[in-house]
Amino acid sequence: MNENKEEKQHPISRLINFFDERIGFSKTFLKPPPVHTLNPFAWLGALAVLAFFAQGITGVLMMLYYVPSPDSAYQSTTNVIQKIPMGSLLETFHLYMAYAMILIVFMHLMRNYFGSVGKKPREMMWVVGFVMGVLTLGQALTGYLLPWSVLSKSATDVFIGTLGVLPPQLFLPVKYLLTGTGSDAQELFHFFVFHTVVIPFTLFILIVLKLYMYEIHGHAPPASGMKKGQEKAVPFFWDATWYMLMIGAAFVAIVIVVSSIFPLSLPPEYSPQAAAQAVVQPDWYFLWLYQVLKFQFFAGPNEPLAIALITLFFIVLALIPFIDRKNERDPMKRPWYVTLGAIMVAEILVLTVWGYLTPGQNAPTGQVIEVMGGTAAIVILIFIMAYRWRSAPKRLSVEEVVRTVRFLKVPFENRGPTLLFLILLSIGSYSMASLVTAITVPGYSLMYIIGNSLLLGISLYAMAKLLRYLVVNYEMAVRNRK
Amino acid sequence: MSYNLRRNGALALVIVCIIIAGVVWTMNPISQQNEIGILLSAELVGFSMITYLYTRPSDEAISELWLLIGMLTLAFLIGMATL
Repeated sequence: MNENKEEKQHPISRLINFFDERIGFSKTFLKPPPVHTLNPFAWLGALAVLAFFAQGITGVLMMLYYVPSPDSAYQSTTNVIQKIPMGSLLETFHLYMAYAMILIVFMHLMRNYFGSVGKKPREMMWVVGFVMGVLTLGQALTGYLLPWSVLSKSATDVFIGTLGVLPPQLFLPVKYLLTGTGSDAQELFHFFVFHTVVIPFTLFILIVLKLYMYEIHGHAPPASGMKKGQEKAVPFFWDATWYMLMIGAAFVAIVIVVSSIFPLSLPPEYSPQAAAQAVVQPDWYFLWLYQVLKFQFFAGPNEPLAIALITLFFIVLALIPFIDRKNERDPMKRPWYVTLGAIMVAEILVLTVWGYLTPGQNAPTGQVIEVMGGTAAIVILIFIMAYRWRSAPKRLSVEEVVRTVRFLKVPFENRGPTLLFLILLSIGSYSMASLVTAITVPGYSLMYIIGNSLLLGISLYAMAKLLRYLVVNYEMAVRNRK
Repeated sequence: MSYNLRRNGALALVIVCIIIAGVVWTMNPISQQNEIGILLSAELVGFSMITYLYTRPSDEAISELWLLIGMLTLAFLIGMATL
């Protein structure tokens, strides 16, 4: 029977089995993953590793032509793009794969955050993964300088200048590590070494460490609980391997297509004259941090506060499994952390778009409060509604939906209270805007602030009363009709 | 779809991939690299479809929608490269 089974095996499987029986790779490593992991979102980490190796291969090919000196860096990069066979595609693919890697790493981080994958016993996997995410950003930062274009050099100089707010005991060693003696040649060479040796090597060690922990702890079960049949394991060879190859091929195909349709065009070469005219703007993945640094209340002496808050944000996120210690993993039962995570994602997206649209412009404090507060308020409202809807004992019946739609007629049937409500809404909005301005812009008297606060409070209270009146009246009318 | 049909489908895709590779071989790697990139993506899409067809545990596990999406993507990419 066994012999028959062996005869039926695919030649490639037989070859793999031949080596596996002698090396024992699948017995000590590469445990069979459970069947629920056969979906692309469970393999985001593997896609990030694939992107890392793709970057490594294309990076080594580019290194054959690249010269890390300020006089030749730009020239050698344009040489690759214009004269080397497949050079333009190679450069563009390297760049877009880096973008894809950052996106995938962010998605991986968020999926694991919302699914509480980093909870006991996988806390260290989360921390190591987070460090890998930060290193990926470091890899992008150091690689950005290498073409020596006016944008990349100016943005890097701004970044190094921003670090100047750190205490000298910290800033000087960091600056020395990044720029050496401070000359352009030293700066470029240090960034080149970090980009091609230090960070990739560290990332590789961390990938091995994380894979080791993954083998120990296995794949985390689904956050909403294991369904029947999901715990069944599939063989790593070939079921899981083919699956990985399939999504990996699709992922690489997307990046190659985008690279072919939108080939890279380099900005002009760096020179102090060109830099004086350039509007400094970092690459898209740092735009949100750049926008935070442009907040007016972080300008000048408050800049260290911005750096401290950003550092604190990163530390808290890195240690989230040690903060959110409850065993509950279902997102539906963790409304606070899920809403906080959603606010974080929404704020990062808003800050990125905002930073892109307003290069070089500081953000006034009032605007910051409106945009950031407004985004957070919208997310909170959406999540309150979503959680209430999900936890409601039953779905709305047709009759209830009709009743809700009929309720839209109420404002037209009660024109007096509706008009009063609109007037109160205008007063409330005006007093709120005045209050925000008075708090953020110096020079307004305390009486003005107190007066506006009272006006806002009274209008809000009256609006609530009016709304209640309208609802109660409507309910009574419905009951009388019955 | 029987196993033989699945295997023949995968074989047809392998032939398409070999033809594309042959076409890529004749192209100019400097002036036509964008087209080469698009065709290389088509190769990868073809490879994804081959693995999909070849490794499904049963006929029921094959989604015709995915096959349609894969074929449309392949056709779109080949069409775009020839434009």
